[in-house]
Parts: sequence; C-alpha cells; structure tokens
Amino acid sequence: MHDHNSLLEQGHFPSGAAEPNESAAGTVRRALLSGFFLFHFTALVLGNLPWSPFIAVVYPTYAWYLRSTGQLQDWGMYSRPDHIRTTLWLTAHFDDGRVEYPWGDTVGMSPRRVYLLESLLMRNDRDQEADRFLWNIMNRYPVDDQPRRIELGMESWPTYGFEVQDLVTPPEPIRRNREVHR
Amino acid sequence: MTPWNSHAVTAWSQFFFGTHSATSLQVFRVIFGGWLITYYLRCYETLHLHLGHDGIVTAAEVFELMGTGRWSVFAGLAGNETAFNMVFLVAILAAAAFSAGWHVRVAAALTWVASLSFVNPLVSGTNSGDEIVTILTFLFLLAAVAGHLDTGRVTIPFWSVRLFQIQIAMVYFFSGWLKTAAPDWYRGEAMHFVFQQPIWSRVSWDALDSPLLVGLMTYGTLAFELVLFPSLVWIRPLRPLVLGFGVLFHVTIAVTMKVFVFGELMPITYIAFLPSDSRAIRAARDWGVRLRVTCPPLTR
Repeated sequence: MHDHNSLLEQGHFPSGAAEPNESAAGTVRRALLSGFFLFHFTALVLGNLPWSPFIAVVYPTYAWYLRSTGQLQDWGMYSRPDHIRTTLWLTAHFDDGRVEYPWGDTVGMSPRRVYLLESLLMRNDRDQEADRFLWNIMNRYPVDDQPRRIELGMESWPTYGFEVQDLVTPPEPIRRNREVHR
Repeated sequence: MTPWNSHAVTAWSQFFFGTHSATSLQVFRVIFGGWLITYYLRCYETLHLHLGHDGIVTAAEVFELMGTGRWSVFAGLAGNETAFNMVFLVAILAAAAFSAGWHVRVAAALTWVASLSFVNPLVSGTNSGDEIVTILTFLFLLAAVAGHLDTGRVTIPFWSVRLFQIQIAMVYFFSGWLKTAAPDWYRGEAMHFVFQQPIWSRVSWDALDSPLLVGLMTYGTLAFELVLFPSLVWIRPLRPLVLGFGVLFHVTIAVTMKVFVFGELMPITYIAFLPSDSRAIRAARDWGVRLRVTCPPLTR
C-alpha cells in the first residue's frame, strides 16, 4: 500500500512519467542539468583516483572545479595506519622548575588539538608554523609569569604485525621536539 | 531511438528529475544548519590559532598554502583580529539563518563561503571531515539556488537529493577502495595497528587485539565501506538496515576513537536517504509543525 508521499519519494507522478507535458524550455533545462551532473560526477570519480600519468593528463580539466568549489575528495583516512606508537606533549617550563601542560595531557585532549599538535610536529615543512604556534601559547601567559620555554615533543616506538611482534625487541623510541625560549 | 537507450533516458530522467517530497531535504537543512553552528564554535580555537591575531599563518602565506584554484576571504586578512571575528560572527548567523529557513539562499551562500574560507588556509588540525563540511555546504547551495530549500515547497525534482546521496555513497566506496591498496587491510591486520595508537584511542584495545577479532573488524570495515553501503543503500527494503548499521558503525568509532567530525556528521547525512514517509522524517515534520504553531514563523 503506497500513500501519495511514498509514491513521490519513489519518483512517481500519478501518470508514472517524471514530468508530463514538459515544455521545450524544460527539456533544455534538463539537458543542461544532465550535462552538469555528468561533469560533476566524473570530476568526483577522477578526484578520488590516486595520482597517475593518466590523472596528470586529465587533471586540469576538472581540478579547477573541485578546488574552487571546495569539493576535493580525500577519503584515505586510516587507509595506511601508522606503524608507530606515539606519545605527545605540550609543556610550559618555568624558571622556578614548574612544568605545566597548557592543553592538558593527550589522553583527555580533544582530537582536533591532538591532530594539530601531531601535524605541526611530524611534518618537516611546518617548522615555521610550529614555532609561531609555540609563541602563541607563550604569549597567552601573563607577562609577569611567562614560562622560560614552551616545548612540543613526541616519542615514537615502532609497532609490528602479529607474526613478528613477539620476536622483536623494541628499539629505543625516536624523539622529536620543537621549543621556543623566552 | 532504440529501446535500450530509450529505457536509459527514462531511467536517468526518473532518477534525477522525478518528483520528490521536499520534506526530507528541509529536515536535513534544519539539522545540518544547527550542527554547523556547533561545528564552527568547536573549530574556533583552531581557526583563531591560524587566522586570528598572532596566528600561525600570515596573510601573504595564505595564497601560497592554498595553491591554484582554492580561495579564502582570509587571503589578505589573516592576522586581522577584527576581520576574523566578523567573518566568524557572520558564519554563525548564516548557519542559524540557514537552519531556520530565513533568507535561505543568502544563508546557504554565506555558509559555503565561510566554510571554504575557514578550511582552505588551515595547515594543521584539519582532516577529511572538514572537507565533508565544505562539500555539503556547496551541495546545499546548489539546492538553495534552484529553490529546492524554499520554505513552503511541497515537492522538488529529485536531483538535489541525488547529489547528496551519490556523494555520501562515494565517500564510503572510495574510503574502502583506497584501503584495499594497502597491505595492512589486504592482510586483515590494519585494525591491529590502529589499536596500537593510544593518542587516537578513547579506550584500551588490548582485550580485542587478537588475530580473529582484528581480522573480523578489518574485513568487516572493508565490506561495509566497499560493498554494503554503496550498493545496498539503494535498495529501499534494505535501506533502514544499512543506515542503522552505518549509525552503529560511526557511533562505535566516535565513542572509542578520537576521530572528529565524521562520527557525528555522517549519520546526519543519512537524512538524505530517508523517504518522506519514514518514521524519523514524519516525527521531525510533526515537531516542526508544533514549533511553528507555538512560535511565529520567521519567513515564508
């Protein structure tokens, strides 16, 4: 049993046609929209394909559309999970020996904050931005109680698959940090 | 015209231009607009760190960071505190107006401009979830320009809803497809490495980190993303099951892992798949009618 709404939902007019007695202007409008849909979905599919000689050739024909309208397609999240276990910290070190965690520890930190810290630290081309970020944190403290230095640091241990994890002695962690000094 | 291409044209026409009740898209607009307000507010810190006073990108760098084709109103304004706060305020008001259906075309345009302007210059603290937001604001803009979001519309051509539906199905399909190119997913071991990252987990996974459970979760994720959602969601009788499983999938991820935006936004996008006679849409419509009876309408 179908009511009127469920028939509409399935795209049915009572006559069964999409739009009966369509005018010439309506036909042209549909044709133009259909052309746009074909271009739109083709651009989305191509935008999802990995870079290749083929994509390098066709990229200029659709990239302008995806980039200017904010439709870049990047759904590779977790497609290559890191083979490292990482700890991360943001600390403020004071002259009197106090150490504060301006954003708290990473366990309770919001995912966006963790992502921001990790990407600032792990990418080699983000050192300048990382330093500006650390100065931004430094400048939030009152002038008469500013830290001596702000540090963003991490330690990473390699992780192994099931078949080898019990056979390997974990090496020393890899350390990486950025810091700014008052 | 031969019969097969006559059938193809008819099927295409039905699929994109058949008439659809406007209710689902209106409910989607109201909920997405409300969610967008909370999204902007929660992004304030990251956005301000980048684009406000003493931020980590300068006005001159914004052009270079975005590359050809991408744009932002902050291209000459990053670091200007007044400009940042004004754009942020406009974004919040536009999202509220969009949700309320007040000057919906202008509101849709402003949410799209604001979202792109915020996301494009970010160098860190952003992920694909933010791209979903810019994509949805663009698709809503197309629907708004076509008049499909006008309050008082009873029916609309199907295409604006189809744009959302196909994009959502593509997110899952290509997410799964890209995973199949990685050995960890191919070998059924990917979730083991995901479990080893405590800064991205809200719970300890030690009890589940066995080859059997890891394999089931790894291949289960692939099956859902690559096959189940993109294909079965189009079959009406199976759709509630697929969407229900999808909600469970995202809620589980949101509760156990530190993934932002996706866990909350993808289930909201499922509204685009709900038929107007579904219980959820009927309940939302009834709630909206009650609200209009008790509050004066902002506009028609």
